[in-house]
This record gives sequence, structure tokens and C-alpha cells, in this order.
Amino acid sequence: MDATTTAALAVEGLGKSYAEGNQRRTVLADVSFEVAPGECVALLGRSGSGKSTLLNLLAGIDQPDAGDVRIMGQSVTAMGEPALTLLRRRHIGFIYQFFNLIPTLTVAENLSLPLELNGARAARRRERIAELLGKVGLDGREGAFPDQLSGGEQQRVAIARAIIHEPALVLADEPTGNLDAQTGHRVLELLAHLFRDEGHTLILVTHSREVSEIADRIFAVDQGRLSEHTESLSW
Amino acid sequence: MVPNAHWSIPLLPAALIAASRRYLTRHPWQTWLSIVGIALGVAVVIAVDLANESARRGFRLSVEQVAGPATHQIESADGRIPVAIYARLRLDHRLRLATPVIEAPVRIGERSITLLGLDLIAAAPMRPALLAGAWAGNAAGPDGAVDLAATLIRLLSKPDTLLLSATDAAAVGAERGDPIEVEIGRDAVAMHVAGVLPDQQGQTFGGLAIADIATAQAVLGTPDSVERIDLILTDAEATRLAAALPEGLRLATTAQRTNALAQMTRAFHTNLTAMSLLALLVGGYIVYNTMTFAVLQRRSLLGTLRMQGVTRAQLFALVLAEALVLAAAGALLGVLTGIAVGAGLVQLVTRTINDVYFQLNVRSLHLDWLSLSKGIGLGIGVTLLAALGPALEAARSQPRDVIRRTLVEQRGRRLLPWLAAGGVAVILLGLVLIPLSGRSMTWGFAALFLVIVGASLCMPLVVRLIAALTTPLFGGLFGSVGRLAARGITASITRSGLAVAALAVAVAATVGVGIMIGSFRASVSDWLEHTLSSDIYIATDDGGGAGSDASLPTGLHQRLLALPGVEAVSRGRSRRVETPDGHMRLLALTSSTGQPRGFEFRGEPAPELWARWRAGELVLVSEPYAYRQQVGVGDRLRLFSTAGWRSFEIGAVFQDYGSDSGTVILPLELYAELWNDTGVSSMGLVLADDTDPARAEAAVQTLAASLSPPASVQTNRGIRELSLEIFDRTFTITEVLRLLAIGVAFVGILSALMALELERSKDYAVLRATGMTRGQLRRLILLQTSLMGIAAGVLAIPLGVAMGDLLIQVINLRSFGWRMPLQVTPGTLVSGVLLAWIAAVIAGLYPALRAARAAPARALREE
Repeated sequence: MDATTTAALAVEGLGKSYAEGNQRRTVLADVSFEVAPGECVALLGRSGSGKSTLLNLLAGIDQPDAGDVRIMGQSVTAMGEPALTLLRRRHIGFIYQFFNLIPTLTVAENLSLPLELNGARAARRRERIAELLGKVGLDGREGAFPDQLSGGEQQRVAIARAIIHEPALVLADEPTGNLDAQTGHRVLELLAHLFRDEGHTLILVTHSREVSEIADRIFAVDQGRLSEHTESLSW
Repeated sequence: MVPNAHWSIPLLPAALIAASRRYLTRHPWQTWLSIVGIALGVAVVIAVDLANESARRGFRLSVEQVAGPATHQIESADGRIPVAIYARLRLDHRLRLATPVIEAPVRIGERSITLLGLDLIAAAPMRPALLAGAWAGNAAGPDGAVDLAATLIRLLSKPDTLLLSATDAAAVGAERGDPIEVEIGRDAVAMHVAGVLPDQQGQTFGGLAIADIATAQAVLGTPDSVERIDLILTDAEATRLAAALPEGLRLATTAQRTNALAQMTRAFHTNLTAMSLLALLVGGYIVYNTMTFAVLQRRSLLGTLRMQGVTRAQLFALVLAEALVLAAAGALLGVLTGIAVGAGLVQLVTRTINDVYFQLNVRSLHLDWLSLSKGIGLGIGVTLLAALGPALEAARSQPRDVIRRTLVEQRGRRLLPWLAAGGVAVILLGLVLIPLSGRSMTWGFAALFLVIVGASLCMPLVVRLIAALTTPLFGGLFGSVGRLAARGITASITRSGLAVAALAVAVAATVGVGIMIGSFRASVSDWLEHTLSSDIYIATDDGGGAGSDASLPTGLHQRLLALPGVEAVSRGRSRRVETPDGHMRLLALTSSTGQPRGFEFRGEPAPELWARWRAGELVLVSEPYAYRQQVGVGDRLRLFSTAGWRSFEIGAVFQDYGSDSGTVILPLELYAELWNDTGVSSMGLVLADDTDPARAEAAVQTLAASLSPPASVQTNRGIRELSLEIFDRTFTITEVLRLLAIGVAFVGILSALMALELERSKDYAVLRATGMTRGQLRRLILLQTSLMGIAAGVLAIPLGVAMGDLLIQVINLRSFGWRMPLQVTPGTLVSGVLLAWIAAVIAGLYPALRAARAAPARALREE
């Protein structure tokens, strides 16, 4: 990575442990890495390896015991709650395993919410929603509620929602974990194309090697330690 | 990046509002039950307030009707002013604007009416509206001819004529010139309608029958005296006249008199308001419960919103906005219901005032905008206040809640002991507040509220313990379904604990009010038992009450003693007297044994009480008077007698539930001397042990019937039954309020349990998918709601008893000055548990049927 370019994400000496009875269990120890803008990085690990904890620390929804997380040069660990809320609102998009769409909002309204929160005008919102729905292949489903969509469709809406406000960083937690193999594969393809087109930075947390293969770089998380796979996988 | 991201961001983006709106419309049961809960709370407050305000307005109008524009009244200590004195005062002081007055409660047909006797010529310049009304309504005679003078001449010259209001005349079916029967006490007098007073704008004569003073004197049997003299005076004239009045007469301002009368019912109104606030409190708790549910149910959703950058302030505003919408809808519904219920309550309130205090001529519902605004404001205010906690809870939502769904429940479980500890602290604060708050009703009510809140904070932990302890029992009785039912409560304790607490608080409120009424009734019954120490009572035909002037015939005492089996006869005179602080009841007694019996003293009486009482050195005062005036043994009390103001030392304070304005007891001889009244209005007969009570009563009845006018006879048991009947009538309104509180409670639990059970649809789908039959699932849900209902009922008992105790020892005492022991009947407690159980089972029926009907695949897919 070019040293003069600000990293989209920089993690330095991150550590986290939890109390278990009288003892503390270390979940993450001295984790450091950087992600350049537009890069896709996969965090690969088994259940309980600490990868979800790492994702929470990256999003600023959990506090580390040691180290620092910087997003677009801003230290997340030093931020107060209001600043973190603003950071998430403007610079981060999330994709969850269980989609987490707002069940009482239509597809278009779910997509509109991040834009409204960022103060976008109605015309801009309509334009962007139409553009994203076209890209995720859900033209004509604007008025549908989440419970009227299949799992794959819901995850496509969730992907569109994560990038609709053009965040600097998208965090995806097992994005295909709740889908069948075929649908998961299609969603993965969509994710790869979309991120290549839009140039977003993506951090992908997964236990699936197939999912990790869409990434530029892969980090393995094992017993709280991070190691980079030397073998680079390209799209 | 999104362009112009720095633009001002609305507090609530449209998408958030849409999400909220659809949440409410997608949970119609929950939304409607919340609205109905708020509506019932608002309705109770508005209904009671409207009834109270209508009664107060009725009182004000009744007083204005009777007093007219008079600024002052001349009153006498014995309620009688000789006509000769009136004539002399009028001449000596050139009282141009003055009229003698007699008023008495009468019945015409089914209507209670005040007969008002006035000197119509003297009253004409003082009451132009009345006389203008009279002429306006009677300008045309039956033949269409102008008949002004004829009406006046008829009223003045015919001794049996009166004017009726158009409303009353229509109600009794009488027209001008028609004969009518006027019931005065137990007598019926034949009279004629000389004219009909029309209801004019701003002036109504409803409930009033106006006669010339001479007519009133004749029909009421007081030919030589009037009750008072109404005057219009300047301040200077008033000062001169007051100084010149003969002994036994005093000049009072109309405002003083009105205040003294208003004071009599103030406690009654305050108590009603307190009861309505209790209903609102239960309603408020249910709103709190509903809003908390709405937040807990959407915890994961709120976490998602936080992940997307929704701020704490926005979530806080969202929950409050939802509450505001519910409150507005509930308040609107509550206003309409409140007006309808208020129309019924005003009849109960005025009936109680007529039974216990004085006659109200105006008894219609008056739509007071202030009452409506107060109800709406309270409903919305309480709802927003109740929603504050859940709104803060929503604002505290962490983005990580979305990732770990079980986190909320785990955190909730960890919080339970702290909540319970906080609850104990809040209860203690409430208990400390009671002695510190002196006699304040507001702080007394605040203490009650703290106890309720504190107890409800302890309940989730206790519910968890109950569920854990009953799991083996349910497992043993119902197998795995039973175990699942009990464990389901602990698994979702943040919500099930809240639902049980809401039901328990609501049931406790009804148990508490039930205990209060039961204790009061039992105390009154015990008090009547020991106070009514004679076997048979004989009284003047009008009952010999405080408003009565009639006397039993001289010599009756000896005639009664001569009857076979009569061992002793005691005599009494009851009347209303003036004190510097308003009216109170005076009871003058003489006893067959020389020492009145049946008194239960509060605290230590003065030494040699009875001897000094008989000597006229001491008087006894009732507990409500002593409590209100903060006086006790050794203090002094001033009474206005025919000999002017007299001061008496208090020798003892006695238990008395007969009058909340206070009673003073004097020896009959002292009363006769100071009030210049040797009359006796009631006598008590003690029968010899071997006497047949029925035969003795028959003999007394025969003697009473032979008197002129006849006297009324009641046995000890008869008086007790009649008194308890009046008591029950007085508390009808409290019972109505209790029923409304039960309604609020039921709506609340229905809302909470339904929300809880519907929320578990997915768990039930999993059970169905793993092979549970529809019947087993129905049984599981009903077992679970049954257990929650029983837990709520069990928890409601100690809280209900505590509430009953606080209502008795704090609210009732501070309202009326009555002390009474707490009496808890097993029936009240059992009915409380049953109420909770039935409410919970009914609330579980719909979710049970719904869950059993639901296709598991669909429920599993719905997230």
C-alpha cells in the first residue's frame, strides 16, 4: 500500500479479553493490519475464533482493552458515543447474517433510511434507490415488505442498504451464512461485482473459504491472533 | 459520499415515522388495548371530575338560588328567629333590603325540592330576577289574559300556594293552578301551583319551590319564627348592625355561610378525586408496561437502527412520539367515555351529598372545559411520563444488541436483584414520606405511589423465583408441557416479569380498595353495635336529625317508662351548631343511668370525665373534629349559643363515623340552658332482660302513632340496617370506580400477555415443528398464562393489603379524619387471586388459539 495514502482502516495492537469466573479469557491479542481504500479483506476463522469480536471493535460497538482502530484516519477508540453514531451513519455500512431489515418498512423505505439520516434530498434518494435496486436486480420490488421477499432477496436489499450512502467502509458478518448454497453463491457474486463497480472498502467476516475467495487479502483469525494468508486470491 | 450530508437532519426521518406507524398498525390488538387502557384512565378522571364539578356547581347554584344576591344573613344559635325580632330589627335599623327566610327539604312526586319561604314583598327589590321570572312565566293566564297581579295575590293570600320551576312542574306533571302533594318529613300537605318559573338563560330555579313566608311557616309548623334573615348591606351597615344584634343572633356574610357548607363536602370530593387518581395511576402503569413491551420487543430492531446511525435522541423521540399518538387517541376516547360515565356518576355523587350532607337542588351534569382539559392533560401527561422510562431504555439501545439477541435477556436477568433492591429502597422512601408529610393528601398519595412502584420493581425477581420453584411441580403434574410452561416464564423474565407486575398492581389496587371499603363497613358496623346501646328508639317524625327543629311531646318520657318491660329511657337533642371553623353537629344527651354508654375513646379521657361532663365543665368531641382542628383533651372549643359564643373544655375524643364535619356532645341540661331549647328529638329505650322485644316494640309503636304529630320508631337492628344501607349507597360510587379500575387492569393484562404470547410465536412454531400437537401447544400457553396469573394474584395480596392499609391510615384519615382498624377478609384475598388468574387465562386464550392454528413453517420464516 502506498504510504502516502490514508488507509480506509488501520488497526494497531488491538487486544480484547473477557472475564470468565475469576479468570480472563483473551479473545484477541495484539492484532494489527491496514486496509487500503477500495480493498476487500476477508477475516476467516472458525466459530469462537474471535472474528466477530474483531468486527465489533472495528465498528466501534465494543471497546478494546488495548490498541487503536482508525477509520479514514479517525481513531474510533477515542470517540464518544455521539461521534461514533455519526461515524457509523456517514462512513460505515453493515451487512448482517440475518439481514436485519426493518420489517415495517418497504424495500424502498429501508434503502431510504440511511440517506434520510444523512440529510439527502428526496430527489437524490429516489435516484439512488432506483440505481441500487437495478444493480441488485430488484427492480419493481420497491413497495414490497421484507416478509414478502425470499432470503436471497432480503440479503440483496441489505447489501444495497449497506452501500447506498457510499460509506468508506462496509463490514459484512457472514453475509451468506443464512442462505442456501446456490443463493449464497449468487449473493457473493453480486457482492463482488458491486464492490468492484462502486469501489467500496469491504471487510468480510466469514468461516467459509468460498466466501473469503472474493477478497483481495485474507486474514486468518485463530485463538485471538491474526495471520495473513500469503497466497493472494483475486476476483 | 452522499452530497450535502451536512444539511440539517430532521429529528425523526420520514422512514422512521413510517416504521413506527406500521408497527402500531401491525399490532392492532396491542395498540387498541393501550388506547383503551389510557382511555379508561382518562375516562375515570374526567367522569369523577365532571361529577365533582357538577356537584360543586350544583351546590353553588343551589346556594345562590336560596341566598339570592344577599350579602349577609342574620342567624340564630337555635335556628329560630322570632318574627317579632325580625320586625323590630327591620324598623330600628331601617333594613330596606331584608327578607325573612325559611327553607326546608320537601318532596314533590319523585323529586327532592327545597321549599323556600320568603316575604315576597320585601324580597322583590332584592330578587328582581326571581320575580321577573315569575311574572315572565305567568304573564298569560289560562285564558290568555294578562294575569300578573293575580299570581302575586294568589301567593300572598292563599295559604297553600307555591311557585315551581318549569322543569320541576313538567317533571311532576303539574301546571299552573293544579293541586300537588308536598311531602314534608312523613307528612303530606296539599298545595296548589300558583305559577311556574321559566328557566331563563343564566338563571334556573330547578329544585326550588317558592312560597310566601306565611305559607312556609304554616306548612312547616313554625308560625312565630323564621330561620334566618337575608340582607343586602354595605360594610358600614354590616358593622353597625352586628354590634346592635341581641344575644343569640349573629351576622354572617353569605361567603362565610357558603364556605361553611362547602367545607362539609370538601373531604368527600377530595376522596373521590383520590380514587380517580388511583385509577389513573393504574392506567399509567399499564401504559408504562405497554410502552416498555413495545421497546423490548423491538430491541433488536432498535439496535439495527443504531448501527445505521440513528441517534439516541432520535430513538428517544420516536418512542415518545408513539406514546403521544396513543395518548391522544386514548384521551379522545376517554373524553367521550368520561362524559357518558360522568352523567351517571353525578347522580351518585349528588345522591350521596343529599343523603349525608345537605340538599342539592341542581343535579345535572355540567360539561366543564377545565375538567375535560384536566383529564386530557393528565392522560397525555401520565402517558408521556410512563413512556419516559421505555424511551430512555430505547435510547440506551446498543448497536451490539442486534448481534447478540440473548444479551438483553441476560442483562435483564442480571439486573433483577438490583431492581428488587431499588424497589425495597423506593418502598422505604414511601413509608418514610408518610410521617414526614403531615396531613397532606398530595404527599400521602405520593407515598402510596412510591410503595406501588417499589413493589412492582421487586416483582420480576419474585416471579422468577416462583417460576423456578414451581417448575418441578408443573413438571410432575403436566409433564414436559408443564416444565416448558414454567421455564418459559424465566426464559423471558424481562417481559413476563413486567406483565405479571402490571397485573399484580392492577389487582392489588382493586384488593386495596376492597379492603378499605370492607374495613370501613366493618368499623361502622362495630361502631353502630356499641354506640346504639338502647333497644328501641323513638324520634320526631323527621328523624330527629341535626337539621330538625321538631320536638317530641313533653311528658313522653314518663309515658314510655310506664310501658311494660321498659327499664330506662335516655333522651337526646341533635342540631347543627356554629363554630369559628364552620358547622358541626351538636348532640345533647341525658342518660337513664346518668352516664351515657357506647362511647369508645381515642386516647386517655380527662379524669372524672362523666362527673365533670354532667356538671357542664367538659364536652366530648368526635375524632374527625379533633383530627381536623388538631385538638385534644384539655383544649377548648367555641360554640355559638343563644347566649352568644361560649367556650368549652374538651374532656374526651370519641370514635364517631356519623359525621365527618365533627360532633360535640353536651349534657342535655346544659344545652337546654345555653340554647334556650328544652325540646327532645329522640329517646332511647332500654328493655328489661326478660321482656319480649317484639311486644315492647308494638307497644311503643302504638304510643308513637297516637302522638300528634306521630313519632317514628326504630329498633336497634332497624337503625343499624338503615345506617349500613346509607353507607353502602355512599360507597356505590367507590365501587363503581373500583369496577373501572378492574376494567383498566383487565385491559392492561390482556395487552401485556397477548403481546408476550404473540412474541413467542416463533418458539411455538419450533415446538410444533418438533412434533407438539395443537392441543399440547394450547395447554402449554394456557398453563403458562395460568401460572403468571396465579403469581400475579399471590403478589397482589401483600401489595393489596399494604394499599388498603395506606388508603385507611393515610388517604381516608387525611380526607375524613376517621381512624379504623385494617380488616382483611379471606374472601377479598381469594377473589383477588381468582381475578388475576381469570384475567390471565382469558388473555392467554387468543394467543393459544392463534399459535395452535398457525402453520409452523410460516411462523418460523417470520422474523
